[in-house]
Amino acid sequence: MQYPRLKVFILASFISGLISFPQNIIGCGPMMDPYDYFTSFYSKALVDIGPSKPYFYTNLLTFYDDWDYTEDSTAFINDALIAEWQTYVPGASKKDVVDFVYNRSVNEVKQLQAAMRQPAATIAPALKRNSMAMQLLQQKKTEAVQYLLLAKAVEPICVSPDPWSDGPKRDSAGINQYINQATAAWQKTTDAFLKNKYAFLRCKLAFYNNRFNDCTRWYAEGFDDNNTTAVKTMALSYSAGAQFKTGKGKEAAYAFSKTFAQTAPKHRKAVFLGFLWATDQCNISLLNSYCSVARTPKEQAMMAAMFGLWGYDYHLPVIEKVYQLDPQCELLPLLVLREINKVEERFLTPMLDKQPGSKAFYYSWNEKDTAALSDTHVQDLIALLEKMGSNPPTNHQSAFATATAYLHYMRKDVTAANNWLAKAKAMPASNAVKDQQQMVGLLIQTASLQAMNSSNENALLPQLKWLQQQAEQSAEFGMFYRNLMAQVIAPAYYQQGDLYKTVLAYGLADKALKPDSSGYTYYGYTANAIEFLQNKLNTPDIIALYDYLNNTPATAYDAFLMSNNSVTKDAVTDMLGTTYLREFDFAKAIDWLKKQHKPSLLTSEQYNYKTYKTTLLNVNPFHDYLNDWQRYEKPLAKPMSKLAFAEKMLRLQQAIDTASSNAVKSKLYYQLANGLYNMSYYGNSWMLMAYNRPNSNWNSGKYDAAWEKEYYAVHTAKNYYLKAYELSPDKEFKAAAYFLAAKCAQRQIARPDYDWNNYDAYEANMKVFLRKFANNAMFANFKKEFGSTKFYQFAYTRCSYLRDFAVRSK
Amino acid sequence: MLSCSTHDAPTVHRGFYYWKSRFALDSTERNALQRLRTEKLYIKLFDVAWDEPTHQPLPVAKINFAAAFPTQQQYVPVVFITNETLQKATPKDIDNLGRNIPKLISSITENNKLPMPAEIQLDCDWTASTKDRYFLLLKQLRKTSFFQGKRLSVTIRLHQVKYTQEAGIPPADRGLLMCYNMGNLQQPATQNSIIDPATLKQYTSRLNEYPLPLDIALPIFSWWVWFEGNQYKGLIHAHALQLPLDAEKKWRCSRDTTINGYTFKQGDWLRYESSPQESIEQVISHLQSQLKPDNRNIILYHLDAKSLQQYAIPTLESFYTRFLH
Repeated sequence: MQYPRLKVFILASFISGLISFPQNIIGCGPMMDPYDYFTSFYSKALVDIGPSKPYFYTNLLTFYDDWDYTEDSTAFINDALIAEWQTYVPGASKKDVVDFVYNRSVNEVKQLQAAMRQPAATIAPALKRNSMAMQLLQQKKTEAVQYLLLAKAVEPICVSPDPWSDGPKRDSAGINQYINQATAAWQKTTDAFLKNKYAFLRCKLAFYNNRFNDCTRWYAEGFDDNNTTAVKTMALSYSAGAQFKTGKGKEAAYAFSKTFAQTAPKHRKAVFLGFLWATDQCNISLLNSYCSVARTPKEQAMMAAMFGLWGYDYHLPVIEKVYQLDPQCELLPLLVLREINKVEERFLTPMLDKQPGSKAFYYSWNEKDTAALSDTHVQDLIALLEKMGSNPPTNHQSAFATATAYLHYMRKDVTAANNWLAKAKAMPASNAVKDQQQMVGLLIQTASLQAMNSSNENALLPQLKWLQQQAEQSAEFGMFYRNLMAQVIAPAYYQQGDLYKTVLAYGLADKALKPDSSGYTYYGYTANAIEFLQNKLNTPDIIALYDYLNNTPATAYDAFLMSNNSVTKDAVTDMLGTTYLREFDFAKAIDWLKKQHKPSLLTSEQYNYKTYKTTLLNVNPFHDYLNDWQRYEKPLAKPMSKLAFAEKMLRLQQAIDTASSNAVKSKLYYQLANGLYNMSYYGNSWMLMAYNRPNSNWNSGKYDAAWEKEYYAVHTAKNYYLKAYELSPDKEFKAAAYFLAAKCAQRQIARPDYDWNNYDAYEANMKVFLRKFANNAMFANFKKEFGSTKFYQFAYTRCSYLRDFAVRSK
Repeated sequence: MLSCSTHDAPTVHRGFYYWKSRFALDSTERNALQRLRTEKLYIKLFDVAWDEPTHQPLPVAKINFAAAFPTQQQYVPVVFITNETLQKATPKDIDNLGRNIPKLISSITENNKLPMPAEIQLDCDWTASTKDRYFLLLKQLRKTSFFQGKRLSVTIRLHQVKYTQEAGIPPADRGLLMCYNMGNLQQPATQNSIIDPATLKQYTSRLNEYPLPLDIALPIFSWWVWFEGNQYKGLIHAHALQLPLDAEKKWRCSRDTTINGYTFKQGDWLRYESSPQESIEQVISHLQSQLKPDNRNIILYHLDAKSLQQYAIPTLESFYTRFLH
């Protein structure tokens, strides 16, 4: 099978269009969620989910249920087969027929046979309790028991050998003996029911003995067109397999497709696998020639539809062909669902992603697709669905008409979308289709709004509340709700400059998914409103957000926006406090941080790789240390809050103005410098300025925001250490202050970013950086001025850069 | 087993490959094992090939043990994987192979009462485009319980030892340098594709820099290479035909004929290729000049009566002992 080269990445598309990887990326994990990697608003409940699930569309798995497949313990039961036995053995309950046919052993059936000959013979208690066993005995169905003995005796050999096992070799001669028995019985019996059973057994045994031509021939001999028994379908599947094994792909595919149509949905996946092999992985180039062997339009339609249940390419011609041949084909809604999902993946998702302010979870593109190509396909699909939604009437007309409306919405044709939705609503529809109509209606309503003003917000509210209620009960509608808020509503606010409402729309998206019945919450890809708040809003916008949240909701819509939202007032006040901390404006930081109900604390999770335990450390933002690896030493007994830190920094600043001597001032500057250094990327309290600290960062000399300059290049910390050095009369203290200033100076040497396009240039720049880094510009003076101090010795034994420098300069 | 002592003289561990699909030693083969004091038998258990109809890798050519494994030799299972398998395998296929290969090796070992191996070998002529998948498979295999505590060796072909940048270094414990099949078999102009010292030298000038410790495999087989004009047609077992050779070691068919079941047309010709003693000695001499003294497995390909009969036992003995100097 030729998979299209589809590259799928997850990213959060920031407003600036800058593409980066958010913390919730599964880039380091096994793979993305195959069920939630493109924007969708089209419910899978429009088809019968259970049997259709393997064939739902996803680009990331072979079968849709590969990932979360759970075996149903009763899935093996062939209900039609059991029903036929019940008819043949009146008085046998379904439960007992299942037990007897599937679970009773050869020996137990032999007991039954013996009891038929000698009524006094012993029968196992399990058999005595089994109504099928007792009815067979009572009704003296000796031939049936004879058949069941043979059927159970051959079960162990009727398995395809595991190619990866060195098991016992097939006993061909032994199997042939069984075949002879089955053939003799088939020829002899006058019982129509058992004749079919023996006919099936012959086919089955022939298949497992690699007598493929016999298998096919005996199927034709044993079953005519009027035969509708369960074993006929089972024998047909063996005949199909036999034809595949003998290189007759076309005939095998036809047989598999007939088997598929006759098989209960829960057993179809294995049949489909055979079809897949027989058609070279549903190779579309084979479709017309393969379908030509089918005898009726209905059969041709089923074959064509099965070709369409596979692959990642658009399959419009397949749907068209199926519809022409059999408008009532049961697979049509599934084919349409798959096609809509492909359009959502390749047309809708990229379109929504590109909107300014869109908080997409993922970005996918196919090298073969361009927007124009996808749009052409959407138009063609619309044309086909318009036909399918009109004439001739089908069972699924309303669903097709609803899909048409949805596609018109995607192409931003609100008029056509509304027209088709109205048509769809006038047709009989299931509850699932009606829910889909309401979802599409909501989307169309959002598309027809010129602005998200108060009037339009309130007009939307009833539908938004409906969707929120649906999300409470359905994980799928939870995703629709999330997608709507993050990719339709939030961008609308963003584009009209209402950034605080953009954040709140994302906040609703974050809370869209609910725990399931077991309490498990699937988070999927979150909009991450808090991250947007922290990174993309400027201070006036954050203040506007605070004011909005702090006031009583003016309208029902305001109340809706504020409730069940991931954005809390505390998060906003923390952000405002942090904004001012970043500017070292401790007074204003205090004003905001005081408003928090639950203060933000300075703690750090420390993972011990030896004990596998994580502990929460109360960092000391004023801890005085030489080497950065000592930053977490001497933690506080109780955590300090951001507010307490800001208050202490303000006190230190104010104390400088009233300090009694330079000695006192120097110590105040030194403490301030320690606090500032610990606020930086290199310190233990970086969470005072940042919300995320990747381990591999360093000062690159380039900053996305103004505050990052201090965060990475610690200019003010260095200046304060130098002030401490200048003011102090104590040489040892001066030495310490000077050394720490030198440490800051080293952080100011910009490290080059990795250059993916020019490694040679990167390598050359790195050499320059490393040379500068190892030769601190301040070390010469440090050695000259403080070489005789105790502190120099202390630093010498602990700082390899100083040591190397000292050795080189001897 | 193979210690890395720098003070003791290097040890040569003698081995043979067994590459037939049915394991049963005849007297010639048993005699050779005994007289040569062979320590190890590298047995190819199965191939892994790509099954196009079902689009998955499957084991083929599984060995059938028709006789007991000799008690004096150590058993080293070998699995050959086609490069096509790696080219077409999906990540899921690689994952499954990582489980299925040890499962089948274990199953064959247990069912045939073979001793638990201390070493397992993978044989694959991987390329730059399949390197990542192959190396991933090797890593997956090493994680399995069956492979834990066992040495993993992999065959290395001459182009892989020369072009290490493209080929990469496989994540294995040891490499087995295949010093045969070094020429272009299907080229009419080739004189001997099995072994050619000059060709070997072109590929092995920096052998001592190869990061994996290397064992050596040497050929003792021969065959006929069949051409129809300039078109390669196939291989024929050396012992299947007794034909007169010209000075170029070729037999030319002057008229349509059938010999021992093979039908040749006028214009067909056969090139006889073998593993001459002199060529093997030159190869050993060159390898000795390139490799640091070390304990090594020296393996002859392959244990087959007809091949063995082309050499005297002392000659075969010398192929091992030359590595001791």
